[in-house]
Amino acid sequence: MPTLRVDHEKCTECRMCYYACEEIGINAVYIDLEPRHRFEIDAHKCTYPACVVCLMYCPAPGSIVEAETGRSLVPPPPDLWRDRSEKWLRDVILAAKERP
Amino acid sequence: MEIHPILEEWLNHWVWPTPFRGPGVDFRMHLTRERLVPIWNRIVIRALEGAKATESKYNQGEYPNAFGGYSGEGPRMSMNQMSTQLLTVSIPEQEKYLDLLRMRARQLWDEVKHGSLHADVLIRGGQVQRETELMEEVRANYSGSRAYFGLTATFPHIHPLARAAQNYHTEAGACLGIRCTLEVNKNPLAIHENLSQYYEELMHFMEGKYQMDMFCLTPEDQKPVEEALDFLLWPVFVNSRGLVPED
Amino acid sequence: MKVYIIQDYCIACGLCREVCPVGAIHPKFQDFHHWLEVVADECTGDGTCLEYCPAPGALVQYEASATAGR
Repeated sequence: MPTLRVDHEKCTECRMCYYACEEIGINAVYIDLEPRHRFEIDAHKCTYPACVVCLMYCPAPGSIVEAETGRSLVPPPPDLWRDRSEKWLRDVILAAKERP
Repeated sequence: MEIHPILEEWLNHWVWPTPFRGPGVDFRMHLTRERLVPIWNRIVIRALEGAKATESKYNQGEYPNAFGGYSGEGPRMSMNQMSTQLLTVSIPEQEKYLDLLRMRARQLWDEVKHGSLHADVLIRGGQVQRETELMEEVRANYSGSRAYFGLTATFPHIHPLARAAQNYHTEAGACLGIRCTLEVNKNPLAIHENLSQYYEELMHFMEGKYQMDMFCLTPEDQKPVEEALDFLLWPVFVNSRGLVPED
Repeated sequence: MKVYIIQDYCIACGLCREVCPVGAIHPKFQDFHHWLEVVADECTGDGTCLEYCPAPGALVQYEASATAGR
């Protein structure tokens, strides 16, 4: 399965991916411990390509790529958002909103 | 209405891509199609025209946008606007939805850089030697956008979601304007001045998109956004280029 | 002697730009990050920036030669 990687040359560290992934309860985006505290994606927690939420809110072209191929996913290629079945994501988000 | 190719591409890259369906997404799509696309289209057309005139000025060594940008953005104005928008939302409310405090603090950081970019255009362009000289320069401290300056301090967001309307529409307009500038104005100092700002405005647009998709699920949640948008699209809100959003 | 910035260590706080007596430090040209650069032609090697930089290793002094293409 392909995994996601942040390209720090392109990332503007706006933290939208961090918020989005936290909101839906997956928490795959984390802040690295090195001094520049950059954003990284934990491939073990990330459920791409089933989930593409971070890609839809990232404003930095080229900053999230497929690790294996280097394919840029920002802006998201049409195959990732046109005619997709999103039923499970909606349920995840509604469940997240009901958390205390 | 024919959609300009630049807007069409921008819509396909940033507006339409959605990771899920739901009432928030439907709300956003409806107001985008019905109220905003026609205005964004006009913004693109006028920005492209304006950018041609600006390019020739920059090529002649005059940098009107740098002076205007320095007074219209940067630390002072941003401190003004961001403080107003934070102080009017109670602290427990600020953490809800998208962390208002963090995003407005981030915007201050960005705007400070953009202030220094505007100053840098004037420094690299030989108009001043140090940024402090701009303190004495009327053009760097005045704006013709009286409404903008006034609104900077008088546009509080009592509800944290109200900012989503400004993020999604106003910042989209700014983003498109800068995109058009970068398309037309190839003066190296103009590119230097605008590139970072394009990314910043796109980030704010994404804040708004995210807030609507994720949180504007009920009429009650959608109301603050609708009301803020009503204000922003009010016909008397005329920007410095005389762009009146037609209703 | 001149100074240059190593981006991997720089935190882009901007202090060096504020304190440089000749204004040789600028936002990095046409870069969308919040990075800074020393314009070598303007740098006099004064060294005030080194006194105030809070990021170890970010500012480096070097011997400028006539053939350096910076």
